[in-house]
Amino acid sequence: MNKAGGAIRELHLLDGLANQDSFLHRIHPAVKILVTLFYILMLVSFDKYNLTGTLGMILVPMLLMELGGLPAKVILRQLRFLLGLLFLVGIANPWFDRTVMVQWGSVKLTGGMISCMTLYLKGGFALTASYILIASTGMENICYGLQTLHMPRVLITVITLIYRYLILFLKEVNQTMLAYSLRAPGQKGIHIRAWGSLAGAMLLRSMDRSELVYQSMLLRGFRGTFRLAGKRKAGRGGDMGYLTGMVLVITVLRVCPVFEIVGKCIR
Amino acid sequence: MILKAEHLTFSYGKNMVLNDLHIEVKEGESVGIIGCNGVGKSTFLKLLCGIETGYQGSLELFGMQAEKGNMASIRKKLGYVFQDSDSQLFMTTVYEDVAFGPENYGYDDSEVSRRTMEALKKVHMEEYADRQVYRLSGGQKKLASIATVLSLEPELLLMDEPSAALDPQNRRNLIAVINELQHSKLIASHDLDFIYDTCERTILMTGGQIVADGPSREILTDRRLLEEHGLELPLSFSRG
Repeated sequence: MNKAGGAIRELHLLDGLANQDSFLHRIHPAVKILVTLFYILMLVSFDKYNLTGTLGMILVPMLLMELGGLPAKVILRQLRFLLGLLFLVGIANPWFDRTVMVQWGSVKLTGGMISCMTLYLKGGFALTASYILIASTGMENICYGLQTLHMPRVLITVITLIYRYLILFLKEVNQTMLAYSLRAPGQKGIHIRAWGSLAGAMLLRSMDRSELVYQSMLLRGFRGTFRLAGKRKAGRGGDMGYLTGMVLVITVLRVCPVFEIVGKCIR
Repeated sequence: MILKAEHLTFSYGKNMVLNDLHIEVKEGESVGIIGCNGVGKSTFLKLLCGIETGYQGSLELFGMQAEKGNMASIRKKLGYVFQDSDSQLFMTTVYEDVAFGPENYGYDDSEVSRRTMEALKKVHMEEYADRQVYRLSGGQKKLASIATVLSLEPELLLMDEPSAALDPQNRRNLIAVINELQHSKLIASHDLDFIYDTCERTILMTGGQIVADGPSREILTDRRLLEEHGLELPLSFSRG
């Protein structure tokens, strides 16, 4: 399977996770969006040297995975590429900030190392929380949630269409790459001479497919904005309970450095 | 009369695709449109639902002229099933896809749900409501595509090559489902056996013109007529 095929499979996997039924899945999308935003806001508010405090925030994604029945292994595997990119972001910190902040014998931890690790944790947790939001809600319902939160309709339509056409584009890329590889056995990658024509063919084919899908939408009454109904079963009580509980947990974790307290107790 | 085309002419640039067409379809009729590739079958269907515009002559649907101002009302009464089901199904689950039309037309949740489940029932797909679209087989996708337009409760069903890429069992199943539907139907195909099994009337097109129009049994058993226009007798007849 080529990379486009893998990407399609991962998107389908994401849709599959979003179609499960759990307590988290039944919460109103708008509430989940608010909780995720609040979590990310609290996460980035940590000082760049506050490693132990930031580390405590791991409990939130863990709790969400438990509430949503979402397997950590699958989520980490899906995020591997983005986490890899994240690794590059703070890689230069240890060179710029060499102030020694902690020393155990001959082992010295500089400010750059700690800020680099804090950055990884913040990025990793924020990505995981966002992924959990999508995996427990689905793109259609996230758009419905955004609509409830009064996000401009035009933006919601753009997001929905991008997600829809992204899959179409990936499918066309997959088909074209498969056709190419079957006629170029043993060849690694795409020959430079074929780049232009392949890119052009993929673009034109995905535009054609997008046009057909758009026509199909028009014929079924689509007039430029999605009427997102948002299928959900939880009552207002569940939503309010979730919102209050999560805000409380996140605030406690933001204020109390849990791992530091546990460490002190053990000592 | 639900469809009346008179002197209907349409071209893509200088390439004339439909040339002075005259067609009338009565309510409840099932009409097959046959012909070789490129004779204008699909273009004719696309004109009916307004995907293609800019024709000459007269085209009337449900007593309304097929023009921009009437298109929304006409589309509400039409169901167009695409040749490629993947172009028709774009939502995550079967239920969401079938409900897309009724939701857009502003029906309340209970009505959307009723229409969706009824449409799925008509194509015997009710147990697949929560199934993700990409997990369906080709035959199931075709049936789901039909359900997406049935949920709009259309008066006229337009189908473009519905049997394309279906295996014999799914094809037979599709024929049974189509024959159960009481709607007026216009089916464009070069699968002549399929047309014979689903339509009581057949229109043969060549070069954008109608060369024969009559009962399917007459047209589809006329070997000379079919061969003159690049077609062959349906397999069920050619076997003797």
